[in-house]
Amino acid sequence: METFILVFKVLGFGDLCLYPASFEYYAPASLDEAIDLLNKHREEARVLAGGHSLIPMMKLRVLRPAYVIDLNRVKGLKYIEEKGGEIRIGALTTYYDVITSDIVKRRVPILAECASVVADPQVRNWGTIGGSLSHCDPSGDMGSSILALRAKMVAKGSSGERVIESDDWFVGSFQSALKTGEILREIVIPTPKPGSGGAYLKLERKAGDYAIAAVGVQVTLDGSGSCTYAGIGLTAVGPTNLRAKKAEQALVGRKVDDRVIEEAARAATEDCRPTDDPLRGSAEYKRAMVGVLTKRALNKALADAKRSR
Amino acid sequence: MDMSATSVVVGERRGVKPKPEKEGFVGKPLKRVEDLKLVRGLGGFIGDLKVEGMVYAAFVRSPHAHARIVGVDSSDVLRLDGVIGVLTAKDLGGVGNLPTVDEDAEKKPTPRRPLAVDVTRYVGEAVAVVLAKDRYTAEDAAELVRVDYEPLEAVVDVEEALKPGSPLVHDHLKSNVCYHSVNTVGDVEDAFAKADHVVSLRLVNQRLAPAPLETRGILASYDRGNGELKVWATTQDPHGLRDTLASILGLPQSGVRVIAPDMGGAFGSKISVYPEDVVVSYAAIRFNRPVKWVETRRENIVTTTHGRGQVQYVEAAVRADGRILGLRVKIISDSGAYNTPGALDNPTLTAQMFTGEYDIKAARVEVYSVLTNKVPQDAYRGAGRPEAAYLIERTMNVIARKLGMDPIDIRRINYIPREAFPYTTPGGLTYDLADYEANLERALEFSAYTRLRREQGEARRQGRLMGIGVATWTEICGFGPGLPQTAAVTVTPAGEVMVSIGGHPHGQGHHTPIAQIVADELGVDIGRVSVRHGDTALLPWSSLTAGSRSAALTGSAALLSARKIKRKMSLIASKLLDSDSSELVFSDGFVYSKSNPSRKVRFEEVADAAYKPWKLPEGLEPTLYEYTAYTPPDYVFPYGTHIAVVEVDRDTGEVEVLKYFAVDDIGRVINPMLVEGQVHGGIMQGAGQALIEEVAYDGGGQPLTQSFAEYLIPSTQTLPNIEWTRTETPTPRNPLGVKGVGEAGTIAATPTIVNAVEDALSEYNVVVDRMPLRADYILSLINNSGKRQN
Amino acid sequence: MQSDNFNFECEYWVRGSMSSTRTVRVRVNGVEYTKEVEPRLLLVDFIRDHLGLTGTHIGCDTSNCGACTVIMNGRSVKSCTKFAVEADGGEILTIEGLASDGNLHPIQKAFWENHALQCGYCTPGFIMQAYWFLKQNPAPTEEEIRAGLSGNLCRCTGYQNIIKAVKAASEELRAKAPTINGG
Repeated sequence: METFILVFKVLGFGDLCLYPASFEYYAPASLDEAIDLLNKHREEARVLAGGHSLIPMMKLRVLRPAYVIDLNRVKGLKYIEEKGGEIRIGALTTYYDVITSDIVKRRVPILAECASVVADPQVRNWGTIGGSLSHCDPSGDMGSSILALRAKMVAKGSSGERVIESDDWFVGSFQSALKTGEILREIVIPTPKPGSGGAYLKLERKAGDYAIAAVGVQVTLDGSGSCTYAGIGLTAVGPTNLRAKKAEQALVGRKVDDRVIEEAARAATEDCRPTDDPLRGSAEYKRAMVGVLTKRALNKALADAKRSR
Repeated sequence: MDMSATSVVVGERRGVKPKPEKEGFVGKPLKRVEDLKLVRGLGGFIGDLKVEGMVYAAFVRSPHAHARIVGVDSSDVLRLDGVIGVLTAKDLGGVGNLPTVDEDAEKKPTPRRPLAVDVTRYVGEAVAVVLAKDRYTAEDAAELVRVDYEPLEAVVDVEEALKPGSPLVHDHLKSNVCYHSVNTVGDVEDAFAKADHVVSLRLVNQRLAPAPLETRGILASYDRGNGELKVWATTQDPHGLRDTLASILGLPQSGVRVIAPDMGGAFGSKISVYPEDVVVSYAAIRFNRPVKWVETRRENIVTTTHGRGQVQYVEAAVRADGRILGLRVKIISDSGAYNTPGALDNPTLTAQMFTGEYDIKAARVEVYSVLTNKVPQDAYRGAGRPEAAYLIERTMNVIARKLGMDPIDIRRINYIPREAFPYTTPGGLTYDLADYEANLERALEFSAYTRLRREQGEARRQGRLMGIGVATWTEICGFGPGLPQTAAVTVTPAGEVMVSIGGHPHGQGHHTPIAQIVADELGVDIGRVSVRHGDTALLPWSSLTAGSRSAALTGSAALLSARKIKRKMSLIASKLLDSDSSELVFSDGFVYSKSNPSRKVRFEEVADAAYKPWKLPEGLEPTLYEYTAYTPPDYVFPYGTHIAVVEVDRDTGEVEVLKYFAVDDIGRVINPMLVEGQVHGGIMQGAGQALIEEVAYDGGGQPLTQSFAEYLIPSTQTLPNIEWTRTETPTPRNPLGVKGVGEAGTIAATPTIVNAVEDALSEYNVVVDRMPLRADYILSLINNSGKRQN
Repeated sequence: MQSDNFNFECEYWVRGSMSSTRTVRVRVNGVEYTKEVEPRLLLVDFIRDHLGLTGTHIGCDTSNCGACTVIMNGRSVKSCTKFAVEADGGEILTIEGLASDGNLHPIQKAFWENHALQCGYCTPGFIMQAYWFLKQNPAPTEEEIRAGLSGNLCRCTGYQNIIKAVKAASEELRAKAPTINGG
């Protein structure tokens, strides 16, 4: 499922415009103010963060919100901190911030690896983690790492905050679990235990493109080399980012050798739900690639896990 | 950058001595003069230009590949604040058709209106235009034009369009074939009867979008008082656009001035006259406001002409030793919705060049140009020659594999021998001069070919799919005997040299090499020479910049004009120095007497005298201005050898290019730095075709590639550094001995890389028959070979 | 080949309908500007049409090509994918602001010397991205340069000389500034 192809199907093909329609612009100074505006204008409003998903769609006039609520003037949404066994990332944290964060490098390198294959350097300078997750593009890279890490999303609305498990976050293509009037405030990642490793591998037509398929893997090994945790997220091979549950089950509680890796990779091909794509390959091809990428990512993640014991 | 150490001069053997090395600017890697403004962001591209009172256009375009226009209602548009006007087809009654090839019965008429009337024939065809105070408002207004369509069945695939009963792109024609020709040379049947092997192939050159970084654009301004239409346009052919606009709009040629501003690339896509050129110019007159339109990238990929789109059937009659006895070729070219001149040029050129560097005595080539419901095709860097090189170089590769020969040996055995030049080909061309064998030898040495093969053997033992591909290419350029190019040289009274050239750059950098040629001829410092171009007011006439022709034609025209200037200045100096004009030398800013070098006069003193009748020898007119329309006696044919090393990931099908070597023979070189730049860029575009580029349509003719998010062009990570050197065989067909380099790399790189990938897959014994070499396609070749080991 | 009657002064109509305008105060190349703009105005059009700084180009409209790259608040950005209103209160550096006292910036100089441009259309975007990249990574390898410029497209040069130029510029910048400042 590719954003632009989808867009053209929604739009029809004749209009080759790349100039956005008119809208009213708000730049609230607080999250509460932003939520009030969102509640006031509801479906007519869109929240602007990094803008790298929203603005292209507005230029194509696929989205034509009457109101744009720019979050960038809201203070305190840009941070990466580690506290009490959790890593907390503010929604406006950019890919660049993630890639250059020592906490990320040390604790969840999968996130940095994933962020560094999103689009290109300029986009990574401004694109935000919260924006990407709220956009819920099935080809979005960050979602698969979030699934692999079993992160939680903290959403804020007029009646307060609620915590949404990553398993419940990806409701549909371009549809997150956020309710009208809610804004994603923070992403909370349980700090992986010692003996953990992660990898995000992306197969793409060209560096920076949307994935043909991509796989994020996070594993933990105990002292005996048995797998105590496995998280696997899949990109661009279903209506949303998917969690490869069968593949995870094939790993947990077992000593991971080549045979087990093969088994998990095979299971991942059963977990995915790809569709044919005229530009990136058939469902069959993508399914096969999920197997190849899962195997390679597992090997990489396991090597890291062993090293970090 | 100094190539003297590595260049091999092969001309002597044929008695053609290369020009001796002399002190001068020609041959030196001088930095470009225009870069100083471009690196500071001070260029003046079409999008940068503004004229007082200017309004902006936006086009309403067909969302259907084929549809009847039932009605157009633009009544809501003028209600929008800021809208100046709207035009639909019915407003363009007095405006003529766009150029198509319809002058004879063989070439079927496909009349093309600037705005579609009754029927639209491709997605993106312009139906109406709106003008507004800014582009945003113009886009708002365009949405308010309501067009009712009745969709018709579209024909998208070119071979489907050939079948009887296929939907017709133009109702009044009996078929979609708009051109057909057969050319047979030698006894083809006999060649096939004598063959030990017949190799058959179906090859596809996919449609490509030229996609220069700057899209198209036009700014038209009509001066009602003087009756002059002034047009700034992204065009490769200012005089051509002037003449066409004059004819279509019913204006005198003297009443149209076309200026090509700085241009951000073109690659053939800015040659033809487009509907927007006509509509915007007409709107400027009709509304008496300057009107500007700049394409969006979506418009560019969907509605600017495409290139390549060609299906090729090849049969080769081959003797057991690898000698090709004959070829049977069928070329099916996808014209798109109209039979434009450029759409027809592509297959015609392929049919002339399809035998490449090889001595093939018997050949039959059949060409079909076929209409489809897609945007028309036109030139794209190479225009017909990359398709020809692909055809023959892929065929050579497949033959070599079938016979178990090295791709080098199959080429050697079939080369036109160096004694055979000038050589007349089955395509009807007469090649100037070449030594293919020497160029190949140089390439083998330069790439350490034997070592590469050893490395390949080692890689294969490790289970890696490494491949080495070779293509030895040639092309026709220096167009041509029927198409002169012009240049004028003026020397001002202060001794400044102003060169006006007919060809003009869209990145090639004409200023510097032209100045190098003229400065050398006049013996002045290059800083004294300035070069102007791209304005119909500069020269009486000029022809287009295309087909790698500028060095050969514009360069020669500038050289010949400078020679005329020199002749006149010699006469003037001879009076000033009281010496014989035939013994004067122009050097270092002086005119010297050869026999007595102390007798000398400054260049600028001679220039000044040229404007003072009393200082002139009798019979000479004052002023120093000389104009030349240079017509070459025949075409020129550069050539070369490219070698690529690739690796295929056998699990994913991904292709990586590891190394790329090229050795080209483009004759004499004016500025080696610029030449190498052309080679780099050309190879990258050829690699783009092989690896990632493809204009895709769905079955109903809807374009699936509409932006750079879908239509991929190469990036910094597509190829490794290219290693390049050259041999030098000057052509006898122009006074500079230059051949042309703009398209060389593009022509060579595509078959080189595909051949390398096919070599990498040799254990699977597959034929690579489509491009781009997408990972999923490569993996399907492996999986379907029946030899996949799991 | 500039024409005689271009007017680079900005002509601007305030729209009466649809949406209200907003005030944008921004410092560009060290100069303070205050303009009333429609919220939908893209930053690139603001820079080009409203400020007359046409060295920042539009190549693709979809944030793929990088021709519109400028530095905003210290980070490189594709200005075709930002609204002008987002720049309010901010600081922008464009290609026109790079040369100082009439001297080319070492990156500009390296592009010229290494023939790293042909048509020159993508060049300002490449130079601005290289400027940001070399601040992050003052001593990059060829591979790192290729990755750092992967968001910029060039259709002419084949990139080889661009990579070479950025390498050369990095060396000159390091020679000039012995103390290396990251970020």
